[in-house]
This record gives sequence, structure tokens and C-alpha cells, in this order.
Amino acid sequence: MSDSHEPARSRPDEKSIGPLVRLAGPRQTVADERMRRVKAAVQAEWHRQQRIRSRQRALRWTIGTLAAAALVLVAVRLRDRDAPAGAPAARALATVDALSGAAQVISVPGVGPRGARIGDRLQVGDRMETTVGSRAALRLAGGASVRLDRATRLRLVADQAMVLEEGAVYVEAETSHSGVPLEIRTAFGVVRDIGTRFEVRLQGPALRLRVRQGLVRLLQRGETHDVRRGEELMLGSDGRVGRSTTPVDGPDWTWVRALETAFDIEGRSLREFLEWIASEHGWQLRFADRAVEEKARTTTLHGSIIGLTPEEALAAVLPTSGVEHRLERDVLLIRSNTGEAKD
Amino acid sequence: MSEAHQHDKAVVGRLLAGDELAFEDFFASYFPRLFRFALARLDHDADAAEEVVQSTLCRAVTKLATYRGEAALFTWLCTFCRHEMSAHNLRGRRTANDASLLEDSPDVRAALESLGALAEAPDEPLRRQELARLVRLALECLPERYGDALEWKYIHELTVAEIAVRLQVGPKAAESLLTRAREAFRDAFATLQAGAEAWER
Repeated sequence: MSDSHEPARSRPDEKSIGPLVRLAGPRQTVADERMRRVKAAVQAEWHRQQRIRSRQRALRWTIGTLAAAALVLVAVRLRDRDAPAGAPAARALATVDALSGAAQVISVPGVGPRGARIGDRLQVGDRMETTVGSRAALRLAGGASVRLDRATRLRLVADQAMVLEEGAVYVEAETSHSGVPLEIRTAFGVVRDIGTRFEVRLQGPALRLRVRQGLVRLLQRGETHDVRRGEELMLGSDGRVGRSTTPVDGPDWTWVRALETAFDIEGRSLREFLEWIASEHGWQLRFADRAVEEKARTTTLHGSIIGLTPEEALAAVLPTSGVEHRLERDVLLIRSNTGEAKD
Repeated sequence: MSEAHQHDKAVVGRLLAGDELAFEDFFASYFPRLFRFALARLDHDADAAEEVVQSTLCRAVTKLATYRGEAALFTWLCTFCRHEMSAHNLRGRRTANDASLLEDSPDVRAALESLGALAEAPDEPLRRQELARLVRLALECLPERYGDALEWKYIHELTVAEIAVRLQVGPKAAESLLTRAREAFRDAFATLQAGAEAWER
């Protein structure tokens, strides 16, 4: 028998809940501005921690790989000093760069799916899957960015090559350093970038290709279709091709922004910030004159824009840098805010 | 580990994985509660509460990997918040009592005793005030959505259908959430009472 001194609990009955809650009155609300300030600071710290953890994971992976490689080397030498070197360790083709919701990585051979984490390294044969509630972004070894929309399945098959099995991807390939064009392979044909930003979407019995910037080439049964900025191409399973124009910004592109990786402005130039924001929107960046361009190149930014929308970020950064912006269709024009721009 | 703590552990797991959506949920769920938690203990100084809660959450996100799910995530965050409030008070040369918790207050006992008479007509202003504080404390212990649902139901007098719209769920799910919220509130209140009685001893 227990001799516990646990006090008896007196639960208010159902009828008392209403009067009790009304007696307490509404809970104090927090001003939006206050909430946004704190959120920006906490999110910045959280991102910083992500980067630290990602570096630590990469370091552990490297040490582990080196240790494994050393063991293999010793084993091979003991077995047969004249034997040819074994196959090189699988190289990472891509890294998980951003996540929204729970995505999965399925590795070969036969290893079950695992929850994706920022900084995960993907190799040949790995498959990335997003659910109806998640999205993910990969950074390829060559520098290109590939964002996966909801309910997407993508398999890495080679350097700069992947198979889109389901869903949609948005590719930002102009940062590729390898010189090898990036390819998105589908059941309909192969989409090859030529320095650009585009979306490939499998829509039922058709493939939709929309180009936000640059030029994309679709190779299909020996035919070549070039698609340019502001164009959309629909390719049906019967091989029929339809073309139309498409806006390069707006609601259809909103999902891409959901995976926007936070841009840390601290110590970066104004030009870098403007290039980033233009790329996120599919805008073309233009300076009113050389003096403004030079100012953008030499101005160093401080602080944080995390938590701000792109429009808010522009409004926060530009006035303190002595410039202003105007958006004319899809062109982000930057000019001095001290007077009229020179030609 | 309770189901609720398992859920909290899963939330932390997603945060550690870098899930942006998880961060949005985490912040929306815990910031208002922590802010009110700090506000009540910092003489309702909103600027001080903002500073403390920002430090609390920044510290918490650096320590996420140490969360084991042994306590509710909110309780875990409150531990950091108490440390930050102490540091804040030391900087401002306030007395330690300023940061004492409502549930530690001897007044709570008296407030609890007045609970039985509440449904009729509590006409003694001080008792009503103390009781209101206790109810607010109980509401703070609940998940944000539970607090919202109870407030919408009993203060704003919204229908279940209207609450469902606000919660972005179906009417059945809203009704179910309300039931859980009522139960959680009753438990929280009873737990506070037990805590107050233990304090008395």
C-alpha cells in the first residue's frame, strides 16, 4: 500500500471550463513586428547551427571514408601486392541543400529509405523522394541547384544527369563549373540545359517544360526542340509538341521560393545580394549606369535579411546603400537614389 | 516516454534535419507561449520579454541535439527561459523574486480554494483576479492550438464550424481538438492545484 503524499487533483467539471476561460480573458497577443524580429534572429541562429552540423557531418564522413580507404588499402596490400587498385569510393554527386517537410533518400543497393537531412551526400543511384507535403533542394557537385517540388521522385544516374520519375524539378544551372551540360532524363525525352533556369514537370501523360532564363534543349526521338526564356513547351506521350508563352515570375513559380535558401548578407557585396534576389525571381538585373554598378560592387552589407520577404529585403537594404530599385516587367533596375540616372 | 513527448522529440528531429517547415511550426507554436511566460515574470515589460525570449530560443536551437524527450518541449524551453530571465535580472539589478513563477506563489493556493465557488458567482474581486491568473497559467501549459480553440469557443463564442475554418481542418477534427483541449485544460488545472498543495506542505 502506498503512503504517497501525492496531492489529490481536483479537475474542474466541463461546465466550469467556459466561465473559467472567460474569467481569464483572451491571452495577450504578440505584436507582429516583435514576432518577426525575434523570428529573424532565431532563424539566423538555427541556420548557423545547421551549417555547423553539416560541416561536422562532412568531416566525420571524410574521416570515416579515409579510415575505410586505409583499411581497404592495407587489406589489398596484404592479399596481393600486385593486384590492381579497387574501384574508387563512390563520390558524392549532390548534397541536400534545403528541406521543407520530410523528404526521403533511398540508396542502392537495397537499403531502406532514410529521412533526408541538410548536408546529406547523395551518390550515383541514390533516389530523392518528396511527399505531398514536402519539398527539397539539392546542390550538385558542379554547383547547379535542383529543387524538387512536392510528390517528386528523382534518381541520380551520373555526374550532371538525373532521371525525373515523378513530379517536378526546378533547375538553376548557370553556376555549373564542370562544363558538362546538366541533363534531366524523363520517359518523354532528355532536357539539357545550356546555362539557364527552368522547370520540368511530369503532368499525367505529358511533360511540361518552362524556361525562366536562358535556353533549354529538349531531345526527343532524334528531334531537338529549343525552348527560350518565357516559353513553355508541352510534349505529349504521342510525341505532339505544343508551345506557348509563360510568365517568368508570379504564382506558378511560388513553389520555387518555398525552398529559397536564406541569403546571409553579412560581409557580402550589394551586387551579390542583387544577383541573388534577381535569380530567385527570374528577373534580369540591370544597373542604370556604371557608377551605380561600381557602387554595388564595392558596397559591403552588414546585418541580416532572414525572415524578410524579397520585397522587404530590398526595401531594407537599398536605401542604406544609396540606391533604389524599380521593377519594369521582369527587369530589376538599380539606380542612384540621389538623382536621375545617367545614360 | 509519453505520446506527447514523442511528438516533441519528432519535432526536434525535424529541426535538426534542417526542415524549414518544422521551424515555422516550432516558432509559431512556442514563441507566443514563451513570450507570455516571460512577460508575466518580467513585470509585463514587453521589450524585456522580447529580449529574453530571443536569447532563450537562440540558446535552445544550439542545444537541440541534447533534447531527449524526457520532458515536454515547452518545459525544456522554459528551463532556458528561466536562466535567461535570471541573467536579465542580474544585468538590470532586479531582485530574484521578480522572476519567480506564478505556480510558486502562495497566492495560488487561495485562488485554487476559490475554484469551487466559481460556477456560481465569485464576487470577491481579489479572488477573481487570482483565479484568472491561475487559469491563464493553465492555458499557457497547453499547446498553442488548444489555447486558441478554447479562447475562440468560450471568449469569441465561435461555432465549431468557424473554429474548423480557423484551424484549417474539418468540423469533426475541430470538435475532436476541442475535446482534447478541454481535457488538457482540466488536467493542467488539476496539476497546478496538486503543485500548489505540495508547495503548501
